[in-house]
Amino acid sequence: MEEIQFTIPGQARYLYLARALVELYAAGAGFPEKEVKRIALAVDETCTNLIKHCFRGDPSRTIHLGVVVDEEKMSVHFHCCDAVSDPVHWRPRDLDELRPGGLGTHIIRVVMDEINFQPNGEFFTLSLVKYRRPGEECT
Amino acid sequence: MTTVASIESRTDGVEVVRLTGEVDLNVVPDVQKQMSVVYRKGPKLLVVDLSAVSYMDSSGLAVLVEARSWCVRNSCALRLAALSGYLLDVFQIAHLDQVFEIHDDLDRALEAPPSS
Repeated sequence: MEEIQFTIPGQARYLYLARALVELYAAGAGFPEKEVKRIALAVDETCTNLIKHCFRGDPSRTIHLGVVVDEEKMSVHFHCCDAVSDPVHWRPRDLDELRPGGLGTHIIRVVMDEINFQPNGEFFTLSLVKYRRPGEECT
Repeated sequence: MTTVASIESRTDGVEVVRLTGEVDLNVVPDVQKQMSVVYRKGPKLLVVDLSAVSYMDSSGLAVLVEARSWCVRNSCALRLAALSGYLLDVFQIAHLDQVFEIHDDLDRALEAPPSS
């Protein structure tokens, strides 16, 4: 299937748009409601990471997303910087150590089946992949 | 998608914070300001009513983790009330469902005996 691409301002007040668009697309592709909400959460957390760690408060930056679904999976692609592609950023944290930081990357790792990085010019492409479970509808 | 954090003072030392809507990075600064107002009142029991929260990400969870830390430091009991099934899933993903004292509704959160 074609990749659906959209761009939103890299500002927290537009996060709901990224969530809503991805949620609609995942639901339309036949993912179960619980997985749809989890995928939207992972996308929100990724956008939040970009705003906080790549854009560092610069409201002129934009978030580029590409979403594609096929028979076996849904993939969401982002342009990201080296701060977010750094493996240190994704290192598992000890959840017994109760602190606010690091929950977002933990959530993304739990919710999505794959997290991949590909160099793409001066950026990286971050891809979140969610596979369909047996019996899930494919539309 | 507007989120409001409202505060209701009950009996002495009991504060109820009611969150509404989608609690994400966009609204967390406002929620943190409201929580600061609550902290200044020095509650002995703080109940966060989540019955009207339709969405919460890690930014919102972080506010609750901060609230827990404040309560531990200040001998205040913290109770969460009325999480939807969706919200409970988010708490479970973050392994926070065993960390917080969670009650089915606001009344039970207010009336529950002190946990040991």
